Parts: sequence; structure tokens; C-alpha cells
Amino acid sequence: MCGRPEAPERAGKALHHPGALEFGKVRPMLAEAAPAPFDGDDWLFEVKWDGYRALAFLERGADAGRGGDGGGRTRLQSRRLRDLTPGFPDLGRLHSHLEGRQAVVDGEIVALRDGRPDFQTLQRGGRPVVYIAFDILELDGEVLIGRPLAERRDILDRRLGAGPDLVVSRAVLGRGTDFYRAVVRSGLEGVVAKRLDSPYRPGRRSRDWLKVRNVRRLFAVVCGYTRAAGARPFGSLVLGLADRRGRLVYAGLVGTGLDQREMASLLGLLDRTGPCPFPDGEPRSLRGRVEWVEPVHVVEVECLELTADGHLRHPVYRGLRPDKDVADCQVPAERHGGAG
Amino acid sequence: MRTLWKGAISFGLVHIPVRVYPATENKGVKFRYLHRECKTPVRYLKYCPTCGREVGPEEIVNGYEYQKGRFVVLEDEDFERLPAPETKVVDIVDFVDLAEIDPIYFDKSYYLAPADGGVKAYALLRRAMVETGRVAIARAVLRAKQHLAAVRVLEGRVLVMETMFWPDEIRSWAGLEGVDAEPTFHENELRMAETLIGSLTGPFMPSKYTDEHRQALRELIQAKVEGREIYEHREPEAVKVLDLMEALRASVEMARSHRAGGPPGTT
Repeated sequence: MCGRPEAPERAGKALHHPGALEFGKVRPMLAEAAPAPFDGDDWLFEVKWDGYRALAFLERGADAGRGGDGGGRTRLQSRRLRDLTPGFPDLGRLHSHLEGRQAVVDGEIVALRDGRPDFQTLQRGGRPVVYIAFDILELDGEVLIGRPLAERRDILDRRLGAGPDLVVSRAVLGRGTDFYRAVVRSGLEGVVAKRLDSPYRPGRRSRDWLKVRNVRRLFAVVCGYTRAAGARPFGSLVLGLADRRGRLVYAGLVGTGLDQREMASLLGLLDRTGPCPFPDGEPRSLRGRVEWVEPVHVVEVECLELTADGHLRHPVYRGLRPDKDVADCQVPAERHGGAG
Repeated sequence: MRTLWKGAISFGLVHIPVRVYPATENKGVKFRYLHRECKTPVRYLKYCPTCGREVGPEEIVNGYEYQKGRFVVLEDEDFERLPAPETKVVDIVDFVDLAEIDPIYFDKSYYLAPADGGVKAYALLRRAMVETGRVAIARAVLRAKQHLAAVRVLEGRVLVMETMFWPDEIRSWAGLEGVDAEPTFHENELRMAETLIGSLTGPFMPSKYTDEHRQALRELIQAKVEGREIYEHREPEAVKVLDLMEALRASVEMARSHRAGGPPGTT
């Protein structure tokens, strides 16, 4: 991705207030995709939280630590350096959980339903939202990004408290495969594996962080829809995935999980009809039943597994993902953990 | 009524399939402890003072304190190695007169109802017990513990099993101060007491007796509910996320111990 490294190192041990890392200038470290879960004693594994990635810049006021909270502030910055603070008033007091004067923390803004992240709720501006912290980049003016992850996590655990608006992510050591299975069973988005001795590399997509997506949850491109059946605005969505060569292939139909309202709004979006976008042509089973559209809109589906011919088995619609594009809709490299 | 367990009465060569139900319930008013300040139900932590941290369920083992501060540890495998008592059988060994059993022996009461295929044998046993006026003494297994029990007929219709204390569980009253004293009293004093007893004597009518304290407590609670003196507690979502992460960790821990203890090749 963005190859130009930012230059936070220049800050060194400067103890000026607020911090050394500047708001709006630090890009979070990113994970590379790994095809399958794995074990490893020098790795920690945690949940891949399904929300908005955000750095939290926390500053406590002058009377911090004496029971007061006057003058402190929390600012949230997106992956793409945007200021997210105004959009999340509920997260405006994260700094009150900090033991210290100032910190820069990495984490994810998630909307919760029954203790599980729900991306659709987040997109609709739903509540409650919680900040899940998983790394610390700076504390009281000292930049920590050169320190190994194990040390940063230790500092994070000791210095950041918890509250109804803040949770510190808990990780499991070594046992990535078992952890992945538990994550799949819980219907969570996936697992992130992080090397314990790795530094924090702002803006880098590094092999030190690997993400393994829950195979049962996929992004797929909407390629068309089958025509109305009964009272429904349309029958099902026709989904496509990009194969290893980047060619769009038919991946099945999804109708479950779509209510009337969602269908009506989708239909409004899918106004640019066109020819069948599959290079292999119209699947025989759909011939004449489909209105084809330009393959630009991405949806998230949950399914039991992929069938042998690459189709989604029992997919359930989970929602539109305007934050994703066709490049995110890959046929999974391996079908791991399917039946577990 | 929820069946507690299904089993059988063993009576000579006859096996009578039965369902077992709890016959009594405690209606005492239950309270939960709340933090006075925020009215949140307090949580009990299992805390290890040596390690200075909370411990999870998978980190806990059974210890038997054979001497103050000295323990032996019993793992699941140890319990499994014990000879299994004959499970779920009420094994009738003797018949006696109910009046011979002092009520001090009775612990808890359970209804026994005939299960599939047991209706005739159940009715037969019940009839025979009514005709002879006897109650059965049995050994029964309830929740992995062996009990002494009495089985009797209630109101001519239903078999009731009273679990009983083992004889060595009945404490001796010897040595209770003043019990053995034989003070002298006037003949008139005794007459007066006997007259009083006579005037209070009547048939036992359970419905006459109610728990006034409990009733007053319930009225007080109801008044507070109606006066909207109420506090609602919803588990904050952040707590549920913590629980979720804890559950994930526990299941990893379980997978590990399963593999360690289970047959090789399990994944």
C-alpha cells in the first residue's frame, strides 16, 4: 500500500505535551492475509474486530489522576487519516480510562449487538459503540512503536482501564488453530495473528501481522438479481467471486436474510443493468431469469462452506459493504475449518 | 413439573420404571447483592491470592482438606476410577412401620410416578403397601450420591420417597446442657400444663399456618415495585464483549486439555 513511511521516530524521547505522534498523520499498521490458521509460540492471536479501524489520541487534563477530568480530550483518527471524532460522541471520553497523561492507542470502533460486533449497525450509526483497543503507540510522550509487541501489550493492559465505552482486546498465545475454530463457531469475522517480537510499523502491511478471515463469512460482488417472485421486489441476488486469475466467477444465489426494505433499497442501487459480467457466460441454471448489473457493489454473506464447484452453500445475506470493492471478493484460497 | 431423573424401583425381582420429581420447594424470598452506589449485581470472583489474579473455571481442581491447610487433589479421572454406584435405582431392602422411623431421619421428599411400562407394577406395589400399612426402606442414588430412603404411599395415591440421613449423620444430643436435669415441680404445675395442652389440641391443619414474615416482606417488595422504586440493570455491551473473549479463551484452553487427556489423534 502506501510505501512512504511516516517519520514518527524523530520524536524520540521528547516529553512535550500533547504527544509526539501527530493527530492526522499516523497511518495504522495493516495485516497481510494468510490462507489458513496456524499455531506458533511466538505469535499472539486475537479476534479480528469488525468495525472502523481508528487510532485514539488520548489526553488527560491537568487534574488527571486526582479524581477530576477537566480539560482532557479524545480524538479518533481513521485509517485514511480522517478525523472520526465528531461521528462518535459516545467515545469522546476514552481518555478518562487512561492511567497517565497522554497516549496514542490503536484499535477498532465497533457497534455491538449482544456482545458481538455488528457492522450494519455501525454503518447505520447505531448504538452502543465501543472502542476495542489492541495496541499502544505512545505513552506520556514516549514513542513505543520500536518496542516489541509483547511489551506494548503489557503496557496497554496496565495503563488502559475498561469502561462501557472501552475494552482492551484479549489475546491467546500460540494456539491459533483452536482459537480460529472458536472464532468461527462464534460467527466472528476472523483472527489476527501478531508476532510477539515485532515493532509497530505505521502504514505498513506487514507479514508480522496476519489475518485469517472466517471462511464462513465472505464478501461477494452483486452481479445481478433474479426477477420478482410474489411480493418480493426481486428473487435473489446473483453473486460473483474473483478467482485466482482475477476472473469473475459465479458463486451462487442469496435470498435468505433479505427483508423487503433491504431489497427495495438494493434495487434502487442496482440501476445500471448490463450484460452478464461472467467471462464464462451465463450459468445454465439461470438462463433467462436474471437481470444482470454492473459488478461494483459488494455484499457480505455468511455460508456453511463452498461446494466443490465453488458455490456458496446456504448463504445468508449480512449486508451491503460500501467500504469494500471487487478486490476484496476473492474465492477463498483454502477451505479450512469448514465443518468444525 | 420437571422430571428430576428417570430410573426404577427395584423390588425383589420386579423392576418398576419411575420418574422422580421434587416434592417440595423453598419459597423463601431470595435477594441478590447489589453495589449500593450503582445498583449493579456484584460478581463473585474466584481469586488466587498467591498468583494475585482471577482464575478461570478450567484452572480449578477439587482439593480435599484432610488436615487444616493440607490438601489432596482429586482430578476428574480419579472420580471416574471410583466404583460407580448402581445408578438411578431405588433398591428396596426392607419394610417397616412408618411410626418406627423418627422424623429426625427425613431429609428431602420426592414424588415417584410410574414411567413407560410401569403403571401396573406401580399400582400393585402401592396397593400392597396400603394393605399392609408398611413403608419401604431403600437405597437410592440421587445426583451421584447414595442415599438411605423411605418409600411410602401418600394419600393412598402417590409413592413418595423421603431421602434420609445415614445413622452416623444424626448428631448425638448427649452433653446438651440441662437436658438431663430432673428438677422437682408441684403436682399443680403439671396439671396446668396438661390442661393447656388439652385446650390447644386439635387435628393437624397445615393451611392454618403461614409464614407471616415472608408475607410481610413480599408486601413490602410489592409496594416498592408499585412506587417505582426500581433499578434496572442491563449488562453493558462492553461486559458482554469481555465475556465473549473469555469464552473464546476458555474454549482454546478446553481444546488443549481435551487433547492432552483424550485419545491420541483427536483434534
